[in-house]
This record gives sequence, C-alpha cells and structure tokens, in this order.
Amino acid sequence: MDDALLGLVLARLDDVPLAEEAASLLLAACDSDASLSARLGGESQVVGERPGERVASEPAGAYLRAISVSGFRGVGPSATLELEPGPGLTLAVGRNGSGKSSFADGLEVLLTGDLKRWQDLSAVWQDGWRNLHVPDPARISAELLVEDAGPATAERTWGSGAVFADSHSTVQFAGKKRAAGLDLLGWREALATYRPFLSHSELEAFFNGPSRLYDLLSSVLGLEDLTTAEKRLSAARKERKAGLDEVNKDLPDLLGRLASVDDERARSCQEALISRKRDVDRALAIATGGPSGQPEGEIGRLRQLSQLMVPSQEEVNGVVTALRAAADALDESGGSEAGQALALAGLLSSALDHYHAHGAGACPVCGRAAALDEAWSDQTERQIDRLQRQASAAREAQTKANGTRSAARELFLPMPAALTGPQVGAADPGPARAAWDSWIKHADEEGPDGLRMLADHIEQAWPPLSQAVTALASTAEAELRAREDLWAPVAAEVAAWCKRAEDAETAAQAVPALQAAITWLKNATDDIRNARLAPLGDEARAIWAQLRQESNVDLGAIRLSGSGNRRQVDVKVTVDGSPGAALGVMSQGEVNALALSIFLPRATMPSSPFRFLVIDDPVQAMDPAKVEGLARVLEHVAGSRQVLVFTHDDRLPEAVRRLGIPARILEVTRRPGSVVEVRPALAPVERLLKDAGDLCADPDLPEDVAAQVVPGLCRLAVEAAFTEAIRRQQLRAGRRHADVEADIEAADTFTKRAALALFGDASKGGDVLRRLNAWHRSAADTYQALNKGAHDGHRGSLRSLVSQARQLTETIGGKLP
Amino acid sequence: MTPAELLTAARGLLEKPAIAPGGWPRMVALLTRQALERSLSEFWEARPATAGLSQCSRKSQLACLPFYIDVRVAREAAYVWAALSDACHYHAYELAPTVGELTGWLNAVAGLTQSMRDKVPGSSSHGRLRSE
Repeated sequence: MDDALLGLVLARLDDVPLAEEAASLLLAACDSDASLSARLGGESQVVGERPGERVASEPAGAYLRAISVSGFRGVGPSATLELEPGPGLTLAVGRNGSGKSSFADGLEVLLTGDLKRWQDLSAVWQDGWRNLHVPDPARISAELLVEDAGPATAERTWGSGAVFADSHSTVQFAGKKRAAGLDLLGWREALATYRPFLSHSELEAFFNGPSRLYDLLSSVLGLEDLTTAEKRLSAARKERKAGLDEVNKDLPDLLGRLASVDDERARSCQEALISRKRDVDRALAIATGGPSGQPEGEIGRLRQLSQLMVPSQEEVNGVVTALRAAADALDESGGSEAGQALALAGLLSSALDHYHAHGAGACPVCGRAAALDEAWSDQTERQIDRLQRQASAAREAQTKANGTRSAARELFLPMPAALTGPQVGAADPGPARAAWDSWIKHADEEGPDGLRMLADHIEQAWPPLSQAVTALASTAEAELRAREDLWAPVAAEVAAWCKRAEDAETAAQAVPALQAAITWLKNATDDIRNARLAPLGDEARAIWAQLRQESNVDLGAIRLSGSGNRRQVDVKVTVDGSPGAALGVMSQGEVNALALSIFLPRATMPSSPFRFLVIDDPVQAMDPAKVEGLARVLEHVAGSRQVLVFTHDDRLPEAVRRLGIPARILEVTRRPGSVVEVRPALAPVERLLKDAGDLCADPDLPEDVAAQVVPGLCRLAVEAAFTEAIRRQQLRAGRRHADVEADIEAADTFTKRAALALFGDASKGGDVLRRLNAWHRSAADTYQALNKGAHDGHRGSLRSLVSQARQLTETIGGKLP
Repeated sequence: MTPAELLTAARGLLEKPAIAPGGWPRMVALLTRQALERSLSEFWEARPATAGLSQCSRKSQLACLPFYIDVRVAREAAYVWAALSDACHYHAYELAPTVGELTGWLNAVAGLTQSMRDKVPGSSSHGRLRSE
C-alpha cells in the first residue's frame, strides 16, 4: 500500500477504534496476501507491517503534434491533422460525415486499440471501421512530443483483410529503434484512469450507468490499494465462512447416519453434535475410543464381560495339591502339640539351669530326693533337644498350612460387577453369576481336614465356573464384535467430520474480526474517497457555474457511495433552490454540460501524463448561451493543456471568435472518394472573400464558371458580415442568445438580413439601399451588384467585385461595431 | 451558361480537388442553384404565354410551376431550390454542405432540368441534344 494511504489508515485507527485482532488483520491485509495468511495462520509477527516505499514510475507526459489517418472510417487517402504541441485550444470544425470524428476516434483506437463508444454498438457497425473507398492501407499514427524524451511516433496498422482486433502497433522515439506495442510510452494504466478522450455519445452515456460513472471517478482517486486490502479481507472471510458452512451442511447427513445405527456411542455422538453448543471434542473422543470416550453402558459391560477371567487349571491344580500336602504335613507333625512340646522343653531347660546352679538334689517340683543328678541331666538335655525338634516340625507344618490356605483364598475373587447386571444382547451373565456364587461360597475350617475340604471344593467348583465364565466372555466378545462392525464405519465418518469441523471452527474464529476489519475499512475508504473527491467536485462546480448560464440547476456536492453492484455517484443538485434528483430535471444539454464538468477536472489532473485532451462534439444539444460558457471553460483548460475539440457546426468557433479567445480553428472537409482535407479556417467573412479571390486567380477555372460563382461567394461574405454585426450588437444590448438566433434565422434573404443588421428590423428591406447610400454610394452599388450577380452571374471584372465586397464588409464592421 | 454547362462545372468542382480548396462546397451549391434557376427561366421563355414569368421572383415562379408541369416535379423543384438557397445564404453556425448533400442536389437538378425541357413544346430528345 502506498505510504500516503497507509498513513491515512493508521491515523484513522487512532480516531476510529478497532479491536486489536481486527486491527492487526486489517494492517496485514493492507500489506499483502502473504501477510494476511500469515496473520490468520496465527503468526503474530506480521511480515513487513511497515511496507517499504513503492517506487511509482511516473509516465511520460506528452503533447500531440499530428494525427494521421488513412483507410479508417471516413478517411480514405492519408489525411493529417497538424497541431501545435503545447497548451492551447484547437477547434476542428467539420460537418457530420466530413471525417473529423475519424481523427478523434483514430487517436483513441491508436492508443487504446479499441473504441469505447463502439463497445455498446452492434458488430455490423463495428465491422464498418475500414474506409469504403480506400480500405488499404489502414493506418493511424500520431506524432507526439514527450517530456524529457522528445518527439515520438506511435502507429497502428492493419494488414490487408485483417479484422479490427487484429492490428499491429509500434512506437518509436526520435533516434531510437522502433519498438512493437505501445508499452514504451507507459500509458497503459493512465489511459484507463485519466482517459483523455471524450466523445459525444460517451457524454450522453456518462450518466446512463451509475456504476460506470463511479468507476470513472473513483479510478482517478488512487484508492485501489484500499480496495485490494478489502478484497483480501473479504476473500479470507468468505473462505472461512464457506468452510464452516460446508461442514455444517454435512452435519444433517452425519446425524442421519448416527440415528440409523443402534449403538449407544451413536447416541452419545448425536447428543454431543445435535445441541446448540455442540461438543465436537467429545464426539471425536467417542468415535476414536479415546480416553475420555470410554463407553459406560452396554458396550462397556460387554467389554468387561468379554474380558472376565477365572484362575487357570494349573493354578487351581497347584493350590489343590498344596492344600492336600499341607494337610498331610499337619497330620505328621502331630497336630497342634508343638506348643506343648515347646513349653515342656522350656520347663526342662529351667530345671537344668537350677541343677547347674545348685547342683544335684531333690526335685524342686515333686520333692523326690536325689532326683536330680548327672544321669538325669544328660537324659534331660537329650529330651529337650528332642522336644525342640518336634516343636519346630509342627510349627513348620502349621506355617505351610497357613500359606496354602491364603493362596487358596486368593482364588476366590469377589463377584465382578459386570456379572451383577442384566443380560446384554446375547450375553447372559446368569449362569456365570451362579457358578461364581458357588465358587466363592466355601467352608473354611482349621486343621488338616479343613484344608482337605477346601481342596475338594476347589476341585469341584472350578470346572463349572470356568466353563460358565469362558462361555459368557466369548458370547460377549461376539456381541461386541457385531456391534463394532456396525459402528466402526460410522465412527470413521464421525471422526473425519469432527476433524474437519474442528479445523473449520478454528478457521472461523477469525470471521468476526475479519468482518470488523472489513466494515471499518469500508467506512474508511468511503471517507478517504470523498475527501479526495472534494477538490475534483469543487472544480466541477466551477466549470458548471460557467456552463450553466441560464440553467436554474445548481450543482452541489458530488459523492461516491455504495459498493459492488450498488456503487453510484450522488450528484446533489438544487433546482431554483430546492433539492431535486439531478438527472430527472435536467435537459439533455444540461446533462452533457454536467458530464463535461466532471470529465474535464478528471482528465486534467496533475498526475495525468496526458497534456492533451480530445473532445468530440461537446456542443450537440447545447444552447448558444452554454456554448459561450463552454468556450470560456475550454479557454481556461487550454491555459495548461492542449485541448483539441471536434465540432460539427460553427457555434463554438463563432463564440471563440466573438469572445476573442485565442484558438486555432481547422476546417475538415471531405470530397468524393473519402478525400479528407484539413486546413486552417479563417473567420467566415475572410474565408468567403479569400475563396472568391482564389477563384479569380485560378487559371484552371473556366471564366464563365467564375463569373457565375464569384458574386455568390462575395454576397455570402457580405451576408456573413451583416450576421456578425447583428449578433455583436444585439448580444451587447443584452438580448437573449436564443432570441437573437431566432431573428437571424427568420431573416432568410440577403435583404432581410441586411435590414436586420441596419435597423434591427428585418421587415425594413426597402430602406436598405437608402441607408447604404448614406454610408457611401459604392456601398449601395456593391450591394446591388452582388444581389443580382449571385443569381445571374457577373459581367465585368471579378477581381474588382471581390475588392468591392471586401470594402463593403469593412464598412459594415466600421459602421456597425 | 446553359443549365447543363453549369451542372458540368459544378460536378467538376466537386470532383476536382485542385480547384478552390475548402471553398468548393458553397461554390458547387451556387452553380447548382443557378442551373436550376436557368432551367426555370428557359421553361417559361419557351412559351410566349409564360415568358413574362421569368421576370417574377423565384418564389412566384415556383408557385406557378405546378400548373404547367407534373405536380411531383414541381414540388421537387421547390424543395431543391429552397435547400440550395439555404446553402447559398450565410446561416448562423451552419457549415458548408457535405458531398452527400451536394451530390443529391446535383442529381435532382439534372433530373428537373430534363423534366422541364421535355415539357417544352416542340422539344424532343433531338432538340435537347441539339441545344447541348
């Protein structure tokens, strides 16, 4: 974005706040597509948020030196319109069909390769672009004077038989090589933006398409970068919204699929997706069986049932064998006498201690004399040893019995919760539950017999348990698999959809911020556009003020509003002070004038490379007063631009001459065979007298023909002098233009015209001779000679007749200033 | 000059670029109008009864013409004369006539000249050839 625009945007961000996220998206969009994508992709560092200055290449400025046309439209053999390369006004005057528009159209075709006003016309019309008399060579060229580069020639040619679109263009700067195409001029964009051509039909079309006028005006304001930024934001928003819409569009189908599957997971997914605040994460977890997606209902129970376990055959056998072995060991160790043996061993040890401490003697317990002696001591020591070993074996057997009992108890796991529930599909937990019940209900008694009973219980209860549980697990497994087969494809769809939805939802999070940025930027663009348009509008109003003359329409502010298909130009006008719709109340001439008021400032903007401006027939439908205004406007524009105006009648040249506006006036005429001639136009009186004089001097013209024609031309010259006098005097007296012109038209003979000039009254023809006589005798004589000779030819010196006529015109100029 | 000579001169000017650059359209119009007026005069003067008419104004002559010649011919003569007169007077803002207009008038006047000569008593195609 160019720095000036970016500056305006940044300054406005201070005044018109925008949420942080939206603002950063806005600036990214102002920068580039890449920046916006990066910003939307979550990169906080916006690439080149402060863009470097863009080097704007200024196109070369140019004046026209000549336009040459051959074989194109009304021009047959090559004809050239020569121009003064510099600011100034040139009028090319020619009747419709004289070929003048071929120069205007030719220049546009040369430079743009196309003709705007043809674009709406039928193919038949467009096909007639070649001249009928001289179809080949078809060629248009322009001599240019380009600033800082000197003279250049641009040329467009068509091969024999080539269609209009199939042309070849070149440009050649003086002393340089000729280059194909016109790009060397660097005008491609400027031609669209500033369009230095305006044809009458375009003037008329100016207000036909509101959007077209909008484009014409907005293109000069240099706001493309803002529009581009807005387009970027809109595209991003649209893409994101479309992504979400697409996902949402697919949801009903997915819900339908879910409804068709009899599976609790499908129900859960439906529940997660159907609610207003849908939980895509949960649906995805369910579909993929992730940690938080474990089902709690039937599937969960089936899964538990399918995974039920009973102790293995080996384990059970081991425990049974161990129990029985422990029982046998207990039997062998004497049951529970180990404690008694230990206590006796303890008592005997204490007696031994006593013996060792007090020596032989009576028994301290029973009192038997000499019971304790050495033999007793030896015997007792042996008995203690035997008792201790006996106790140890008993303890060991007990320990083992305890160990095997606890090992057996570990086999009796409590009833799994899964078994306590109702039947799930084909999986009926009933038999397994019963088996489990019998399995865990066992006697648990001490002693070897208790152990043996336990072993017997295990041996009896395990097979039915194992059988029932294994059968249940495989039924549950089969049930589970059947359900899985139905669910899996739907789950895959759900998972896929959820992933898309997650992506789309993530992307769509930026939509509100994008929308905010778009709205902000639209308002900003409107304001900046109208701020930039204001000076253009002021200029248009100034021009309108000169063109309007007697119009009661006041031109107010010009604004561009709306966008897209509803973009339009609001032209505020007031009619006699009250606001009105611009175009409804205006005459065709006023509309043309208004269009011109808008065209001229646009085409003469300082940034335009075109120092020239070509206007084809601006005066059609204009009344004489507006033509006078137009002449003044053109004079002003011609102060800084080369203005070339083509016009089909003498109104504009007359106004230019009468107002003393400096201008070159060229006359374009066309002879049979499309021979087009361009020559400087003299004022009518001068022109006619010169024609007459030239005829007298032409040796090729038969004398009798000259005698027939010269008096007529001289009379025309005098008539023109009278007419100019009428206009001069009556307009100065303050009469309305239209009234003066009506009077002149009504005075349709030489005599009436003279009377109108001399007396302000066309009916006083009878007094003309007397008044002329009063001026000078020769004036009356000349008048009479001309009146007669114009019809019947003149006998006598034609040269002196011409000089008499000249004298009379000068007298008229002097007497009727 | 006879009407035919005037018409030939007019055609010459129209088609010959060298003579009277730029000024030719009005000159062609002048010559064509003179050819028409001369034809009219000859038409009246060919009969003693109408000879005096050639001294009247052209407007009067054209008003009388329908009584002596086919109404359509008379009407066309009046129309072409008015158009030529228009071109031979100085009209505010109007430029010289175009090739198309001039060619049309030339052809019209040539036709009118022929029609009027055919009506002259005693005149035949022989007579016309002789007078040319």
